[in-house]
Amino acid sequence: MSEARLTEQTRALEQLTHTETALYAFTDRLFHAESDHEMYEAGLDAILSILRCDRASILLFDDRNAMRFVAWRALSEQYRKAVDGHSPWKAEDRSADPIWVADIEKATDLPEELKAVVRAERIAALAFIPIFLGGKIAGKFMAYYDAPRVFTDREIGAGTTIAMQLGFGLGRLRAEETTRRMAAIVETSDDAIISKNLEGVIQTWNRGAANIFGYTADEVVGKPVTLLMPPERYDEEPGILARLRRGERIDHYETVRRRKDGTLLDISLTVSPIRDNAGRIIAASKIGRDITEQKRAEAALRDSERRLKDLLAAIPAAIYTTDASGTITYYNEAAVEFAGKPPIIGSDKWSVAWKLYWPDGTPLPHEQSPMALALKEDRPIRGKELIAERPDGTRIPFLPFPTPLHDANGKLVGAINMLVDVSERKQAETQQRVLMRELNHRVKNNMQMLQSLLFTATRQTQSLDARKVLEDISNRITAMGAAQQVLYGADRANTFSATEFIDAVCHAAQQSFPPNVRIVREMVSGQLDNDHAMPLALILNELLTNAVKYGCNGGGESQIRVGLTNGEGFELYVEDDGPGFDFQSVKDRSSGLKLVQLLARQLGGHLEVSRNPASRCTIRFK
Amino acid sequence: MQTNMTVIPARGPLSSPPSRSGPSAPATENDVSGTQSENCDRILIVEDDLLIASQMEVALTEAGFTIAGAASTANEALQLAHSQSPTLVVIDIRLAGDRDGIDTALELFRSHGVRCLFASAYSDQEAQRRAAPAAPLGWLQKPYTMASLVAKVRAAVSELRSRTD
Repeated sequence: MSEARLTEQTRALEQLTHTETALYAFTDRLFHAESDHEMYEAGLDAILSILRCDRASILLFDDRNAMRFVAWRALSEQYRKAVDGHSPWKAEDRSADPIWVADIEKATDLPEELKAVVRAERIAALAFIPIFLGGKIAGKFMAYYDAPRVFTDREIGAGTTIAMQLGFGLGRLRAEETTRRMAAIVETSDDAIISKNLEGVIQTWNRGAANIFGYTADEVVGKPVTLLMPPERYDEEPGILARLRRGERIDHYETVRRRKDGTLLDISLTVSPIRDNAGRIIAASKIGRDITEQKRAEAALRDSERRLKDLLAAIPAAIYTTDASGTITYYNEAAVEFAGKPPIIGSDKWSVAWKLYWPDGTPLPHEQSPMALALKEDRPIRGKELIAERPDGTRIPFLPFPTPLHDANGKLVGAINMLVDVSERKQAETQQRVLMRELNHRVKNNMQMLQSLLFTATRQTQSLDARKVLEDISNRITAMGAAQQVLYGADRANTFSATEFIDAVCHAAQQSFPPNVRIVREMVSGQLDNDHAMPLALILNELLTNAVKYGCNGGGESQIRVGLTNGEGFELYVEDDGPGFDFQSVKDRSSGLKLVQLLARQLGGHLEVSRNPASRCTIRFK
Repeated sequence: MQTNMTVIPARGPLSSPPSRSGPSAPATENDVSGTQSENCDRILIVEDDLLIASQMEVALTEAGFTIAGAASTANEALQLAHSQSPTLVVIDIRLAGDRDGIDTALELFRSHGVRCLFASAYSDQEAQRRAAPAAPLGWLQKPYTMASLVAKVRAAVSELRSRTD
């Protein structure tokens, strides 16, 4: 063996030893590195040392798949900016070969632009070595030389090894980071997150599990998961394990578990198989949520609903509810009794009644019922009296009280209706009407007896004056009878129609007037108070009598005009076409006018007499 | 003020006295002279209140009518109508016994062809509707004066005559 060859072999051996030593040191540093920065520094040292280059850099794809410098040695900022983002490979490539450029000036496959940048940095030779992470290209490292260079097989092999080691190292750091994050998520979760092996032995235990079950991790890891089960639930575990072994996931399984202190809790469990890289099921994860509160709230809601239904059932009035479309969703026993048949839940709409009618007997279609209206117009309906007919033909007058129901957001969700049977009230009203009728009859019959007594008295006296007085009284009783008739017939309890009243009193008075006298009733409006009836009837009777006496003496037809207006107060007038009379001179002589003044005072008013243009008597009162 | 006018009709074309007539009116010379032709008109009074019935009798007699009888129940009225054949009946609605004046009037018309003048405290629409088949001669509202009773009876007689003539 020549000396030269021996020297060459010795140098090659030295280089190999150096490479192996440097690779070993590199691997060791990667293994201990705790940050990306430490990884990069170890990588750059290894590249410079093993590939014997003058400068080096590491670049990785960023989030947007652009190749960025993450670490470098002795590169100008200008250069880094110029080549930033440049990559011979794409981010998702699964294979890439290293590129070794021995002399930039001789390289034919590099773009001229790039060459110019490289030349400006005084780089003569360079190498692009891809770095893989999890089977995909993640970046590259670069080795730069100031002079052209012939790369040896040892350098090419070593470059690939450095890239591979760097990939593993970065992968380890990223996996550790992911694990740390996952662990933090698991640890901070309020849910119990537990893993167990296929024998049902607890392997991990998070803080949520500790809070929910009361055991620390130390107390339960390595113990069978049945520790958490009340004895009567032990038989659940074999089933769960069997399903896990078949690879099935158990979702939101609601069951009962036991805390360390022995108290039971409602829990919702999700159990999933955990597989190894080969896909074999090796363990199970369990996520448990404490739903004791939720269960309690549900139970409270059910209790509250039941109480409400008990309450509705106990009310002795027909009550039912519908959804927003009017379909019946609930009814109480009283509603069945009311309708004479049970409604069909989910089918019958708007009313539980078999048939509906207006009070006058006109049929009312269900879709036009007050309940339908309440839903359609989203407002409570009141004061609509109706009649319901049962299948047996009996009819019930009733008042419905349909009221829309809303959810927390104010959205219409349905309605509730209460049907109040008013049969008894109706009967009472009928009885009251009968009594009123009887009373009215009695009053008028008694007045008629008075008339008879007056008639007898008139016949017995020879005095013309006495006859005249008795005659006047008889006419006054007739006027009072007319007022009584209007009061009895009034729709309202406390007032009566002024028009009906004036007509009735005029009719009564007319009976004793000569036929040539015409009473013309002019404008009359409004309602009068019951207290006004008798005084006003007597006043009107006197004024009409006066008008006939003083205003209708001529031959042919005489007219008397009567009106009652209602402005700031009431104004009753009686007008004739006669010459009228002088109030001052007559008032003390006429018993009729004295009576009018007295009664006007009773009404809180007074009498006015005028003669122009026509003869007119006016009573103003409040 | 000329709107909303209603003319109150004068009642009873035969209530002829030019001056105002009161309870004593039928007793005046004027009235008595007008009674000659009415002697044949026989009036049956159906009224269960005897005081009222007696004064009706006096007033109508003085006005020249003949009283065919006074009944206080439906049965009495039907018997008298059968035996006395009155020209017309003045009848109250409320009577002693279990049948009211409207029932009685309906049967009087059906069985004897006699028409009634109602003189009652009741004159509401329901009463008028029920009584319609009996072809009432008129309605007199209690309390009425004896003068208006006489006027109503005269008007009724006149209507019956105009039918038969």
